[in-house]
Amino acid sequence: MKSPYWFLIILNIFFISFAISCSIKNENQVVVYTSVDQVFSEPILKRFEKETGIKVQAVYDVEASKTTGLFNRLLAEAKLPKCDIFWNSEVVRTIVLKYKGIIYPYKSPSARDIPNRFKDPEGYWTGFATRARILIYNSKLLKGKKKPESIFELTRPTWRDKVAMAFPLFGTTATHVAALWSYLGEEKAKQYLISLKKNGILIVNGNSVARDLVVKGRVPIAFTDTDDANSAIQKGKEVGIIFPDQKGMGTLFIPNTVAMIKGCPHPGEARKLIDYLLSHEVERNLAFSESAQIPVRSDVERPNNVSSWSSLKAMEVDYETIAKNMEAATIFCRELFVR
Amino acid sequence: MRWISLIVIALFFLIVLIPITYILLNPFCYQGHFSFYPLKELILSSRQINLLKTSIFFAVSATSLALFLGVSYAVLLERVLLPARSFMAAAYIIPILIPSYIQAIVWDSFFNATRNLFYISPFWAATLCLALSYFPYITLIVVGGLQGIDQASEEAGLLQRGKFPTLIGITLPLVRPHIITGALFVFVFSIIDFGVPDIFRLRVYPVEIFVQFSGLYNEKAAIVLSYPLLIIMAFLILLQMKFMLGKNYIGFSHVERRIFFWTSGQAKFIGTIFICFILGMSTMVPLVILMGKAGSISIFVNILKNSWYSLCYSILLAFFATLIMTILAFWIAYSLERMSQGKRKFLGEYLTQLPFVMPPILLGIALIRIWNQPFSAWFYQTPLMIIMGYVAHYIPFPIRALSSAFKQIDPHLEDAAYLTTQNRIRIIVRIILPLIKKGILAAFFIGFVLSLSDLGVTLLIIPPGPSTIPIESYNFMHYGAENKVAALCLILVIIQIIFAVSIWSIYNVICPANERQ
Repeated sequence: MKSPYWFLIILNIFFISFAISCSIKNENQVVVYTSVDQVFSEPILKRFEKETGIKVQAVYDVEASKTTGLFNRLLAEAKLPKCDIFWNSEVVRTIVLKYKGIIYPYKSPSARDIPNRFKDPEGYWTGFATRARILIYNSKLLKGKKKPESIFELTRPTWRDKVAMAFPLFGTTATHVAALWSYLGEEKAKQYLISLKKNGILIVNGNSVARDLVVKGRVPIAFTDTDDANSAIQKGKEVGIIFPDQKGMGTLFIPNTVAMIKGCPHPGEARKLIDYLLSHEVERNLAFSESAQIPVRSDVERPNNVSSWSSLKAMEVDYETIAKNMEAATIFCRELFVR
Repeated sequence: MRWISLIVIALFFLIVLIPITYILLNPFCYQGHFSFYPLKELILSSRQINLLKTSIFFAVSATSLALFLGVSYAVLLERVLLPARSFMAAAYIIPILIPSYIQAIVWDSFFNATRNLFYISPFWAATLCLALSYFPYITLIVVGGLQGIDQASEEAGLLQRGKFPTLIGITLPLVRPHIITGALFVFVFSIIDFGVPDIFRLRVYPVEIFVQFSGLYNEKAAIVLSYPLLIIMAFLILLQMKFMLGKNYIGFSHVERRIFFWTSGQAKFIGTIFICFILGMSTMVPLVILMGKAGSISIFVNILKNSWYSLCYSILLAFFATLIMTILAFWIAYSLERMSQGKRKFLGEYLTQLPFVMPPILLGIALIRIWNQPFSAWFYQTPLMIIMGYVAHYIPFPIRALSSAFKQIDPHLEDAAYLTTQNRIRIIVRIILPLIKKGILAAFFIGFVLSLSDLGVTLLIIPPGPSTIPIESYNFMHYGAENKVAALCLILVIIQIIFAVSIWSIYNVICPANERQ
């Protein structure tokens, strides 16, 4: 090597051409941040791309960030948004985005037949394809034994050291705790969580980990979401699902939500994608996917293993109230479980 | 020469120091005004103090175990004539190629599978995992120290006091700065680690930061809560600089003659068994478990078919980030080494090590806040952001590797060359570069390995579009596809091993054995 100049010249050419190619804007595109698992969301976004010719640029969250990596990114990018649509796998953080002025109202024509409880009255967000907070159990370990019908039974000595739950500070478990806060009231919810802790509940780092502990037989039962449980069932694992409190307060349902970002760079394309995501077709596809999400519209086709929304008793809670209780619930759980 | 230095300093400020300064000062800007109010978070509750104590105890335990493994390995390698010594001298690098979170996943499943035979608490499981991940850093530094010490004193000790007293009384005290530096590196790695304790369900202080950030969305509180860690770590960096002032971190010069205290007998046998045990625990067990979990070859074929794009994307990102990192690190290390001792040099050393202690999630947020501006829109949503993130996070490592290489060059060589030409660049190209080839390769290797397995920074700044391999692994993990996670992890490790072998081959080509001697 006589001189490094040739190397520096090639490097410069690379970076200049790279910068030029990156700065060429593709207007016929839409940027979506989604916390829905890539295996489930990617095929839907690809289908939209194929049908409309609009390029979808997606950023997926991972459970390692407790599905709040993208949420925090949206907050950080607030002054100059790069994202057009936030497709959230749950509802509360979307509502927090509304409070923080990150999202913009859009009433999609596709959402006309979505029940009002799944829609923001001002159109800031719209829910579809719900997941339920369920109990997953190991059918081998609980064979012939009485299974709990309510989450309150899990505080009994029978279930001592036998229940697992994800960290209640993040994700849908945090939403579940905040929902109990709203439904039962602060004192009763606190008492319930204290009882769970006293009964030796195993706190793990994610719903999928809780599910895996049940699959492997480490614990007989755990709190998780229907999509996590269904992916295990469809892989042939010996597990079953309980929709808890069907005779009592009901099961908590957490819909996917979609919202348009305020000041987003591609509003036209964003509206088209929102319309598509809220269509019957997408709800149907999510119901038939491995995540087996429950359509919020009764006329959407679903497989036999997916219960109909109307056949189940849902916990009567307002999502906005859950969002308002989230901070208090998180602080309490932090004091109780992080020590 | 001057303009190159200015460009490098400017780039270092832009990419590294401005985001860090932003993060450190951000909490003082409260509701648009300067305020100390957010610092109230620093009044830690008894629960938070307990978590901090757990974190410190955890880091001390992991460091102690890593010290035991790392120093023993280095001493056995350098002072006992072991069979297959060359293999052992290269094999301890492999655990560095296995990211700590992969070690954690593997050991967690191992302890779960063997829980009926023995129980290990989450604390000790996480400690063991971190020690197995990080002991090679201590070995690397201590081997450098052992290769550089004055052998005359050891020879005198052997004549007068015998083998073991010489090792305890002369050899180890001579490499004390290297041992302490290695220990400090591991301590810093351990105290900021969130992933490994999280997998073992161990509650540590960084969880508090994560809760503020991801549970309560209070970015300022998260930053303020990270101050105690940053202060502890900054203090440790200062200590390390004090101990290592003027000494090499890694040995690059060829060792012409080694003193082996033990060349046969029981020590050789025990040493071989011990090294095999360490390599087995840190390398073989993880790799075998991953292979077992991955299952059939078809899984690998399937993964390669579906993830080849992410694989290429990850490799390209890591490659270009490392290229920039190495170029910047070269000039920074060169400037630092040519600086005379004093406050300026101390400050330079300190600032170049600061990124080492930044939690990646905070660095990601800082990069977004600083670079998501109209003037930088042309590159904000491009892979250049990830490259910048890697450079910002990992540049201290190549700088340290290159500093060590520069320390081993006789400065008089440069002075002599200056008599024939005043063109500094020519001197660097013709004299310096050939002399630090090994240092450049080492810097490149470290930068590449760390960038390729990054998750924390990538997660926050990855532009829309293709994903990286660590992110894909986590996605599969959530999906419950253990075989795919294991296959992806193995592919990642294999790529890094191939890379390591390539670097080693390049080294052998550009530095042939006769030249090295």
